Amino acid sequence: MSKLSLFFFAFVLLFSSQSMMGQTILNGRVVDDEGIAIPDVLISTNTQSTVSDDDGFFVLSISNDSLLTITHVNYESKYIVARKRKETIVVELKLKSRQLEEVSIVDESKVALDRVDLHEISRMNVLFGESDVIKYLVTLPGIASINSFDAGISVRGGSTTENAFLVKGMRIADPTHITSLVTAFDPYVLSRSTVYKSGFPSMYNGRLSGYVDMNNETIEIEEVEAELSVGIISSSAKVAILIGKGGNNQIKFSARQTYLHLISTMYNRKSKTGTLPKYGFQDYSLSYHGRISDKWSLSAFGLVSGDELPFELTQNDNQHMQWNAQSAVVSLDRKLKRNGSLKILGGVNGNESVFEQDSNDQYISSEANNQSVSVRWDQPLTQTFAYHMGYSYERNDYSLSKNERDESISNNSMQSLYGDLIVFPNLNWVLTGGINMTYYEGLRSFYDVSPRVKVEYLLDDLELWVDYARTRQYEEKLPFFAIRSPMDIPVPLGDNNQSARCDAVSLGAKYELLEGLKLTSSVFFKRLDYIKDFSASSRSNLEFEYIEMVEGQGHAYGVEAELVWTHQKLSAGVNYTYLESKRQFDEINEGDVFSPPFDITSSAGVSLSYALNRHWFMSAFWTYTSGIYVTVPEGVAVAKDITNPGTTVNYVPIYGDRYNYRLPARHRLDLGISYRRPVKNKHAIKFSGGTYNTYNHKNVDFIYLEAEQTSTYLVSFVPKSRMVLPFVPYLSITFYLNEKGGKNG
Amino acid sequence: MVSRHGWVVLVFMCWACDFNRELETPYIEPHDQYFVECYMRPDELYNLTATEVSPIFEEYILDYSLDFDVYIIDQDTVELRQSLFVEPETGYIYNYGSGRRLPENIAGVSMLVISPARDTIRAYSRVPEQILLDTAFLIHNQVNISFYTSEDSEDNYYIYYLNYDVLNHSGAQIKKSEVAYLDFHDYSERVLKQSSLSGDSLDYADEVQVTLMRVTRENFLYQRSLQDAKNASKDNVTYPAPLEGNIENGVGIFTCYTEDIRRLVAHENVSGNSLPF
Repeated sequence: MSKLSLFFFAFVLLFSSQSMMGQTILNGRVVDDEGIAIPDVLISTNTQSTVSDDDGFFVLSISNDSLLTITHVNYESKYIVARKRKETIVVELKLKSRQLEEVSIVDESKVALDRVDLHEISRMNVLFGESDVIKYLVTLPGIASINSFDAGISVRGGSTTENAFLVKGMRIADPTHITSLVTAFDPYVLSRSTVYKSGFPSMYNGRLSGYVDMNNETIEIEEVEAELSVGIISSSAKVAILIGKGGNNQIKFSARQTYLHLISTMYNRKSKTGTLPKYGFQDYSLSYHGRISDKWSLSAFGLVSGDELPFELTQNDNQHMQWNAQSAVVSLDRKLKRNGSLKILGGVNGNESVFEQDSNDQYISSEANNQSVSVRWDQPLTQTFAYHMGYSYERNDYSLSKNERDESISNNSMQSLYGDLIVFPNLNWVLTGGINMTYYEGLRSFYDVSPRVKVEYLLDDLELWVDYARTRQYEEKLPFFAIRSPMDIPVPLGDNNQSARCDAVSLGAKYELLEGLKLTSSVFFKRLDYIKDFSASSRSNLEFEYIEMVEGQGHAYGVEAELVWTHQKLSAGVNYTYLESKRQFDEINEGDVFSPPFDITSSAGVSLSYALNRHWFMSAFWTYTSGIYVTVPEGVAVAKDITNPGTTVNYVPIYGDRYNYRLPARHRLDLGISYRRPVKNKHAIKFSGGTYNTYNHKNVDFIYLEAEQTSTYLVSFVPKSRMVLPFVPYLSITFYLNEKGGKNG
Repeated sequence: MVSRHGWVVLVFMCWACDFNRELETPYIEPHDQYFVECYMRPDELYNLTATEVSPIFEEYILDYSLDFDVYIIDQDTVELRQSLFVEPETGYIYNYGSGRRLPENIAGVSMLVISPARDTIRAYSRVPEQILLDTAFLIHNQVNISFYTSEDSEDNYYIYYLNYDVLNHSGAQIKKSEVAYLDFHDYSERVLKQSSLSGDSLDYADEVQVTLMRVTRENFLYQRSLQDAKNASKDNVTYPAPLEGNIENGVGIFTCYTEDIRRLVAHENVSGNSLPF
């Protein structure tokens, strides 16, 4: 040490010792609720402040009984009274549930009963024995399901085709099963998910309305654990294994098989009124996470799903549909200094659907494949600045084949450069600005610039935010039927199209009224331009070359509010969303503004869950949504049946405007109860039972017309409806092998 | 044996299996639309139906009295006269007709209809070349046919159907039909194609009428959409299906077609066999 340094050290010691009189040094560490260190947390008193290091440790000079304020943008602030302590204090921070308007979803089976109030998905129990990401999302304000046949979600008045399902930010194929009973997203493997309804970070682009980003994070296990569930409509097996030295590598696997087709077979044998299609599906998920070194880690995710739906119309007219999806995502992560990270990701995915009809030898096969690579760099610069930037390349190949001869192939690619700058000017404000620049290359090429802005204000129990985001979409799905289904055909932009555009503004507030009682409310507005639809309302019997992609405009606005109360073992929530969503195309409904199916005026949800004790858990969920708009004929004519001379009067419906009839509102009550107990102090068994649509409300999924002879010469047509999901009781048994919950009971 | 609790669950599930529900009848303002149908074959008389589309949720009255001006333009302009013409084979009613026949060896024909509100309704149809069945034979409950495609891809849309009668237990005659829509428009050369149709009831029929129609593309799509529309009362997911056609400023079809018909006698069938129901 040089003389100058020694002098400087002595100087500091001399003067600082004066200011430290009556003070003491506090050592501490900040961790999250899983015990993982949180760096860059601001720890301050009235006079001093510091920031936690990469391992979460901090040192601060304090006076006795001084109030410590511990804050981080992503965590809930904590206030503690500091006293003289010899040992290191550990401060645990909870992740903000409002963080970027996200919702964290944790596998229900991993939730200990005393923490059930912290994990919102647990409010749903495990409907049909299957916890599910999408089933949970549709219980949130601003998110709704449209139809039992459409497994997608509508986010704030958007179409079900305008959402992205991602794993680690990488696009995956749509692994949709029909009916809203189950989807292929198993939270056992995808243990944490985030849904963005607005205020999108710049890395998200390619869809207009919503982004569901799922993460195959590791779960806490001891060497190996397994779950085996047997339910009324499906059974599943799940395994998690730690391998390698120190358990640095974790593999999770989940497989599910339905036997709905067997239930249909049994029903059809007994039924005299009609037949149920023999629908069957299965899905498999695989996840790997391994630590290569202290700084490098590797993770991988794979999902395969397949569905089969045969319809027996007449002896010579059978329809057979099948669709499948495959996705794989690999991520190589490197930790950087000051909690920065570098991620290199690659992904491939594909969707395929096949439709066959016997009566006209029709065979239609649609395939869409996607390959993508991405590099992302997150880095906090100082205590007041952080940035996030990245580059991604994506290629899409589409093919549509008819009768295995007539095949059309197209492709496109997108390169995106994006970045966000996050500024923390003081403890109360967070400012985020970002931009996504995408170069699209398909039948035509162009650049898109999509800005993002978000301002947050944090004050004690109150949080306010306003955000703006522009998003783009480069494909639309042609409805295969008159309603949305997994058979829909993805269609890229044509040579006359430009990307669909959404400018969304959202203003929100969150306020903790009382301890455990939180009110969240948002208003939102979306302006839509160059949105896509098709000149035909469905594929019907048209040849694809005669169906045109058309461009139009629209808007959606609304307000949503949610009140959540958590108190000890009770969790209750109520939410309501009011919205209006309109669209307008020159080629549809004579250019008039119309209400699309996802113009759901009102939706509400009430949830209640209660842990009676360590073994018993009960839940209830009631939901209400306004009726959706569907298309019904506006007229009728008598046509000649040239193939059947025996038919003299052949009534034919004549269609005019689309979406001209509003179905009745949908609502239902689901009840669930589960009993869980340890087995041999190491394993556990859980019995889950309940009822779906408990009061059997006839929620309308399809509408059809029936001709009724009102007199000798007069006929009238009566609209009748068909429901897919009536009252369904369910029971499932899950056995947890070597599971930590077994120890906890 | 089902336990007492099991019965409770079963009864509850049966209650839940009532999937249907009648909905409120809405008032939907229909657009003014006219429905026109005209099927023409070479050397056959011109017949045409022109009516107004009736609002769906009002009591339906088939009104043939509307006063249209109807013209068909082949080599000349032919005015069709209003009257009721009943097709003897089917009982189908046309309300406009003429003593003029569609000339043979004509490429195309047009239609002009002036509605009572003086709206102009137009359509055009090409005349497909004559179709001939090469072979047609019945084996058990299946009818196999073969025919040659046209060198003109536009003429390679076909409708193949069977008509036959069977008796039920009470001795009543039931008319049955089976249909296949064959799209070979990818072919632009003369190729021998085969097709088959089957039906369980064919074993009980004495005679089967086999018809192969060569139709225009517009008619092909129209017939398939009609087929879908007929399934409207069946609650399959393809419903609703918009009606295709080629009528400008209206709904329906104006088309020419050719056909070849064979009657096959079921040698093995015993006359008077009845269906097992």
